Amino acid sequence: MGIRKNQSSLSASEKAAFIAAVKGLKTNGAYDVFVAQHRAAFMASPNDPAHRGPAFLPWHREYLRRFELALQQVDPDVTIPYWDWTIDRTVGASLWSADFMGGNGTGTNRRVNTGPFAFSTGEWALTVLDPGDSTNFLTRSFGAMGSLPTQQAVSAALNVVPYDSAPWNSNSSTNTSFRSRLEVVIHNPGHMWVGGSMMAMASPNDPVFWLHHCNIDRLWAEWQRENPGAIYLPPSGTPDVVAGHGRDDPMPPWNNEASPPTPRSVLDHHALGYTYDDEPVSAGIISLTVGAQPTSASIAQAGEVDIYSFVVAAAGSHVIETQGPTDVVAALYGPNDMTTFISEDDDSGPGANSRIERNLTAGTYYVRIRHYSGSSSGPYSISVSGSAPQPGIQTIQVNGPAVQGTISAANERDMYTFTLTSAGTYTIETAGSTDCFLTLFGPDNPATFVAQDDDSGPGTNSRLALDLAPGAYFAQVRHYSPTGTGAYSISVRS
Amino acid sequence: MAEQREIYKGRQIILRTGAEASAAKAAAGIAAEESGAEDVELYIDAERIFTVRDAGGSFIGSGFAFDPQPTPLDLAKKIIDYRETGK
Repeated sequence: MGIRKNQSSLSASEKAAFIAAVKGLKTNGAYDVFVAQHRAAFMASPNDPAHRGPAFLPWHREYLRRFELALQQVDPDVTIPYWDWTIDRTVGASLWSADFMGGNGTGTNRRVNTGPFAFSTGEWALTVLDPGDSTNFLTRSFGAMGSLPTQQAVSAALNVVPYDSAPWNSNSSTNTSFRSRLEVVIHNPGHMWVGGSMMAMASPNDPVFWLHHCNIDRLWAEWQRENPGAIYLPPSGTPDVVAGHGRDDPMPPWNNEASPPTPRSVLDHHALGYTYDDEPVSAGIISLTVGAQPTSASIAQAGEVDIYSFVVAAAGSHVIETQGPTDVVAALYGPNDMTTFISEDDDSGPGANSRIERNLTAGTYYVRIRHYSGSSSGPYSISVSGSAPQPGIQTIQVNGPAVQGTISAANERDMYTFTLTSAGTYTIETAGSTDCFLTLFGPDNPATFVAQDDDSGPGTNSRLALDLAPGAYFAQVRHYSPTGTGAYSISVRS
Repeated sequence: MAEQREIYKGRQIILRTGAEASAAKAAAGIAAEESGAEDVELYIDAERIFTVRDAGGSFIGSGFAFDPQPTPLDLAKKIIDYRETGK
């Protein structure tokens, strides 16, 4: 799982890698496609799917994740850093140094003349512009149009519940809409403080856009963590809500994809494959594997709530149960939404343990464990078992014959598992004429990222040669192109 | 009100609305995708400012997307304010 870091903690090499990946996308044309998507969202007003409405946060979460995945096609180790303007809020902050974002604009035209995105580098000409604008160089005007958000303002925003409120647009009260408060009071001033290119509909032309929005996404994730029962609003079908802003509405411009993202589908940022460097470990979501040995844990302090997730690959009966001497209560949520309640149990297991048995469809589920008494603590363990095999995950025998597979639909992801009984160097690779993209997770946890590869094998095949510890691993195969399909085989050799 | 004119900080703001705006768009041959807010045409010193109106009725303009204003005239003044800061 990728970790998004505070930009102020990046090493020189991490900054250089981010800049190089951004410039790589600029060179191959992908960067300007992202800029055009953002501009197009604004120009669709009053039907803007991305701003001044409930989907402001989900749309930008999806948008940033796609940009991050594009960066990782250039350099798999790169993640989007975030800019915490409550701390780094001066013109002299290291963010604006010549080895990272470059500095303020100068002169009457406010042209940025320092850093990697200065026009003089010959590598950063703006080609996607707001209507009527012909400025083809990056501009900034720090502080000309307001101030950066303060910690006090951020704290006040995080205290606003519910997520959003009628009339579900720019007229939603900043006192009854967390989204509106975050968008209007926190987000907009960030754009305005940087000024210049960042004030435009084509604001992603300034790469600091990504760091600014990464911080907005981080704050949303923090709000979600502190308000686990506050569901995304409004539901689809609510009158007078712009298309794309309802909970299960496909979000433009991706709404014609085979599995288009919706606000609901991006609520769990961990499920999207990233986390933030400041997320408290104790409050993090711990992954469980169906059929694995019980995971030991404890309610370390009174009032603590532990959160787990597990993936059901194939529909069937599943049992979530606790073991141990502590009187815990388990609550099950999902699929793919940690706020959709399914069931809660106190003592259906042995002693004072919890036991929930349910037929579950495929998807990601969440379990919240608390002590029955709000003033008590104690150890326990938790496990998930499935009564049916998981046919969605095929097994690869190490040094056995290659397993045949097919990407039969756009965006399909095939999952395989293999078990290593001893540590060593292993090669996982695909074969065939399909341009596969291989991602490895494990050991013993399908949510723990190990490595990924596109074309290190023959032709456009993937190959990972890695030193691996014993345990169960999970290999995910997808087509390099989101719309691509084709046959392939996959093998694991020592 | 078809046309409003106002001088702000020495700059002339012209706002055309309704049929006047539609006629101005047609006369200028403005493409549909750059037409912007329906029935609104905004100019600062004869420079056309592309303007859109969000679902809540607020106005934003070209190069000025993150400080929505309740009216096109307010938007024009904000844009002039920003341009003044660069001098």
